[in-house]
Amino acid sequence: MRSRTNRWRVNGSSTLNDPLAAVLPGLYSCSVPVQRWLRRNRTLVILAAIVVSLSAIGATLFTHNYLVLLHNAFQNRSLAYAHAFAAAAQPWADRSDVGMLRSASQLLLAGSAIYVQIAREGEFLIDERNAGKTESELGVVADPVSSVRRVSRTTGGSHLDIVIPLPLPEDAERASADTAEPGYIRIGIDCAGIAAQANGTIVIASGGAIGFDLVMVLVLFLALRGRRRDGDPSTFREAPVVAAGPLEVDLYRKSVRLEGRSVHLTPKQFALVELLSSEPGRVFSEREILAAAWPDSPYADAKDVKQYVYLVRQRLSEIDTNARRLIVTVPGFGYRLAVEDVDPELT
Amino acid sequence: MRRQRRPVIVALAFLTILSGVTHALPVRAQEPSVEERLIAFSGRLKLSLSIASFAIYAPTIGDLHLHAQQLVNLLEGTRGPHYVRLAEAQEAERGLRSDMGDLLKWFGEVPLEPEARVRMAAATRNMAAYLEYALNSALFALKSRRLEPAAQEMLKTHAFLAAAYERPSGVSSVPGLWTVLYLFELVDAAGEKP
Repeated sequence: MRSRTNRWRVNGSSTLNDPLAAVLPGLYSCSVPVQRWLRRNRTLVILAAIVVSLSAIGATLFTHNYLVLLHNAFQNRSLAYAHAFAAAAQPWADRSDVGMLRSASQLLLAGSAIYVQIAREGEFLIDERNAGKTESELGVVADPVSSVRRVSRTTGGSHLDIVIPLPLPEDAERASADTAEPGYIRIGIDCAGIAAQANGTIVIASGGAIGFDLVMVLVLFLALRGRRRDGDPSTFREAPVVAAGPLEVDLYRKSVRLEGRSVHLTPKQFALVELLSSEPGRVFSEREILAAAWPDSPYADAKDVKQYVYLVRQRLSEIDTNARRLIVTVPGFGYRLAVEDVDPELT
Repeated sequence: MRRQRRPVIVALAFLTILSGVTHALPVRAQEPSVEERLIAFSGRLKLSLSIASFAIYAPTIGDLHLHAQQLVNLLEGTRGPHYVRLAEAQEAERGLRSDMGDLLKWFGEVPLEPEARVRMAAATRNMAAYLEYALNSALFALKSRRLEPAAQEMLKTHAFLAAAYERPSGVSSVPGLWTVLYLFELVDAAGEKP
């Protein structure tokens, strides 16, 4: 019988060896019914906490890595996009075909591009902007080098600023290779599209983690309940049986045994014994007893507590006349279960 | 005397009215030559290749769909079944594929050697087929919701357009627009070296 005893419960200080209490010290500072539920479902709570923690870590790692990959891919594609435009625009730039350059840049500005600049010999061939999206002055770059940088806008959002130098036209190369200034294209790619995709990924990952948690907690709950129903002996390690001296309170079967004999109690009487045996030796006030035994009744008062203590004593004395002393009245404070009668090995 | 002058007056009046009517009629615009049409066609095909390359490297699926639609519009024209009007875009009424049907008619307007005519007909057939494949790939890309598969479809589109252009590289190639430009001695005018 002792193997079925819950050691965490019968200690004078009930939370002393409880791993839940060690992890979450404030857990047992909640109301009595919640405490009771937590104690009853300790395994479920611990496993659920592990599952939730692991899924949160997994979701965070996945989101972080995915976002890094997403931004790298976006940057690489944007650079390739700008190079594709540079390759297309170079013959037009060499011919100074402004009309064609403008038309081609409009194709890009209809999408994520927010500005397209093409400069030759220190002057803009075209400087096309997407109205309302470009805020900064973008003057001619004196010494263009291939670069990609992320620029945050004060109006919110950010864009990639890509500069790609253009080689000199063949005739200019021959004529004045030393004096001619190289041209370049400069394109701004708005990051709004990728930001929306990133936010979507975060929402999906969070939703997936929460869904996984719910499913796992449900599975755990059903599995633990199934094990209890099947009467698996291993479940009795966690079975809520309280032994307080000669008194045994089986919370699962809602039964009380004194010296191995069954004591017939009503639900309210059982609630009273259950509360007192939850922390043997501790004095429970009438208010606490009322909250535990009559949680929904505003009309119950100290007289009811007194009456039910009397009735429980009577029930116990039917088995053993001395057993009525198991419930001790502490004048002015309340009632307690006699610790001195509790198995010393368990206290 | 009056009766003798009447036919002269009538003739003068007729001539006056005729000259007025003739002047009132708009001067008919000079039709572009076959060479000019071919150079314009070549320029649009080159632009479609550029648009396809923009789509291949588009940073987001939205950009890819935009460029794919620009390409479809360029291929089909404003009367095409898949045409979608894009904001602030000025598109030609006739698409490249519509012009393909007229190429042989254009060639009929100019005197050509029989052998050259056969080569041009073959090149035209090839171009028509490649442009259709390109259009189909672009439409597949438009349906795709994911960037990578859509970019793969646009890669195919680019390959078909490039094949329609036929850039000779010393290896065996199927006749396309370059052959036509070469036979018309327009390769320099179209920006290509012979």
